[in-house]
Amino acid sequence: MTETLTTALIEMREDDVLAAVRAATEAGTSPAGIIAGLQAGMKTIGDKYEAGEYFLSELIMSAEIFKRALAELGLDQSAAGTGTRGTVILGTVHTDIHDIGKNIVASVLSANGFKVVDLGVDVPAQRFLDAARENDARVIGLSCLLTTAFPAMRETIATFAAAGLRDQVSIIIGGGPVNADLALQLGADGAGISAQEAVILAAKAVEGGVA
Amino acid sequence: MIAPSNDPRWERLRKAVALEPVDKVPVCLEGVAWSARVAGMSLEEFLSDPNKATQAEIDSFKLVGNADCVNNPTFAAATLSFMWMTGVKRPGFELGPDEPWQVEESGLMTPEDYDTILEVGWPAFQAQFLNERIRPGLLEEFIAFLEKGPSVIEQVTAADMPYLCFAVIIQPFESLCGGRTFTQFILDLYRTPDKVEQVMQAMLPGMNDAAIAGAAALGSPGVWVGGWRSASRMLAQPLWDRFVWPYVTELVAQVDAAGLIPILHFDSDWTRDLPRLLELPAGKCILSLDSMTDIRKAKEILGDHMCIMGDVPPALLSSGTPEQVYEHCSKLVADIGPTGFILQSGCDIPVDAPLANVKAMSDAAADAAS
Ligand code: B12
Repeated sequence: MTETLTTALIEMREDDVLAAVRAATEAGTSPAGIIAGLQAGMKTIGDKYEAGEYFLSELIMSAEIFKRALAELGLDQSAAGTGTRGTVILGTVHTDIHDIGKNIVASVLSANGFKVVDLGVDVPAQRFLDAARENDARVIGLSCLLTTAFPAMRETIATFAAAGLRDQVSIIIGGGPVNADLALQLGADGAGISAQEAVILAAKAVEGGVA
Repeated sequence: MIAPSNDPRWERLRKAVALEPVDKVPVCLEGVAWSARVAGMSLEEFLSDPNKATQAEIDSFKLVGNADCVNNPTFAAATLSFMWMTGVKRPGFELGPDEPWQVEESGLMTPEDYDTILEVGWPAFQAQFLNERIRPGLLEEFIAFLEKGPSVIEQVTAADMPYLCFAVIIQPFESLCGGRTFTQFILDLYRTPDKVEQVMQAMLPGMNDAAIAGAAALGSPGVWVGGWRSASRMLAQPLWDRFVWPYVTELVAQVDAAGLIPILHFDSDWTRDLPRLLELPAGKCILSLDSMTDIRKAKEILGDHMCIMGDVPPALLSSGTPEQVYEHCSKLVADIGPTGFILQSGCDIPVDAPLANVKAMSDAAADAAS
């Protein structure tokens, strides 16, 4: 049963996925079992993307189907893991409006069991801090595609320091022009150039303590 | 089209496009906001008047000294709204006087709009959309910008500054995708592909006629055929084959038929589909890459077919040292040039790139020739 589900997801057949979720529920499959089937599909899709077989459109469509399938089970994205792996505050930094990559990072993190609080684009430093406090989050993800927005990343990191919270959160950065050198320069805890790397960094941050 | 000329800079550009040997790899500045910065003009002032934008470009072109041309000789923020059906936050209005403009992709276009477009046609829909959903007076602003064309060309000619292009034409994909937002539009492509296709086919005829005719009347050498959200990296092959490529080939044919150079301004990663570009007319186009497409692969596949332009990475231009830029550009000139290559930044020169870095780019081409 979950195999049909997984295959339908990998092939982007939205209606078939939803029908399979309903059928599995009726047949008595547990929500955890159904979620595992969906996650297996998401993993294959992620692998195909990394291998250059799938492209952004498949990541976006599958994330949407995944979300709808969870809704069918009466769950939201944060319930996707067997227990949530922690909260990630994510946003595109002030002055930058690119969000295609950030949205993918958000859905891949969700599919991997993280709760994601997505603050959107052009996010001022203070909002990252406020959201971190409100959600008691340990991981902050900054997305940045513009070299001209590097100062906004620096400012965001400084805002956490000024509030005395810097040591309690892991700040990870990502986006086209971002790399490990830049993370070092800005005093961030890590840099990633793919959604997969975002998962690895976030996992390291919550599981291994502050990086 | 570029006519044979006594000016060595125009000759280089003409030969680069025709894939003939050149004495030096030509250098093109795609400056826009950057030109305002180095000319000491605020971005608010730069956007306030097309002739001021041109003045900034002329000043920056002179400051660099040994570049061969600029890409677009002027700029207006309204163009971005016209192309992508989105609002734009502007310096001096929604932003501080020297803050770079921001495209607001907020999904002003709804699924119901597909039917409206089919009913009333694209031009009427677009005109109403610009003024009613984005900002009153926006259409008039855009028209006023276009009407400045002749005076911009006069200004550029008086300053003796070669340029490549005074018009951007747009595929239906880019306008719909901008209006709907990237994510929503992708979902539309999966859920209602036939409807989207019907709309695109209705949009295409005539969509860019005025821009092409206008550019030809001004004597512009080329016209941009733009691709941003329609890059190969963004789309599964079947989607790209159905919703992007047929429209790009048709637009290239229209531009070519008008005797203008199709400048394929392709941002992001188009590597997967480079072989398809062999279907476009030989020795006519310029393929302008932004550093995400594998330019060496492009040379290998398309080197005998079309001129390649690019692709100094924006991050290098803004954060690198002049030595690093020089070294990178020297390698580009050696690997992609000298024939069929124009050295340029990958897309726009970032607003914060130091003048010394842009000079280093231009010097690399000059030194390689001597
Ligand atoms: C699509 C696009 C746009 C769209 C944005 C639509 C949208 N909703 O996002 C539009 C057309 C609106 C746009 C506008 C502009 N753009 Co733009 N745009 C691009 C383009 C072509 C692709 C970006 C993209 O989506 N890539 C695909 C995604 C999936 O990749 P990604 O974002 O890198 O994300 C991946 C990873 O980096 C990582 N990741 C992302 N975030 C995070 C976060 C964390 C924590 C981690 C770990 C990982 C991670 O995972 C993602 C998934 O794999 C790039 C070209 C390029 N070379 O990148 C230019 C580019 C980014 N844009 C650029 C510019 C200059 C602009 C404009 C200023 C243009 C103008 N002249 O007006 C405007 C305004 C921008 C503003 N104020 O923010 C420049 C930036 C140059 C610079 N200074 O650095 C680029 C590089 C183009 C260029 N070569 O000049 N743009």
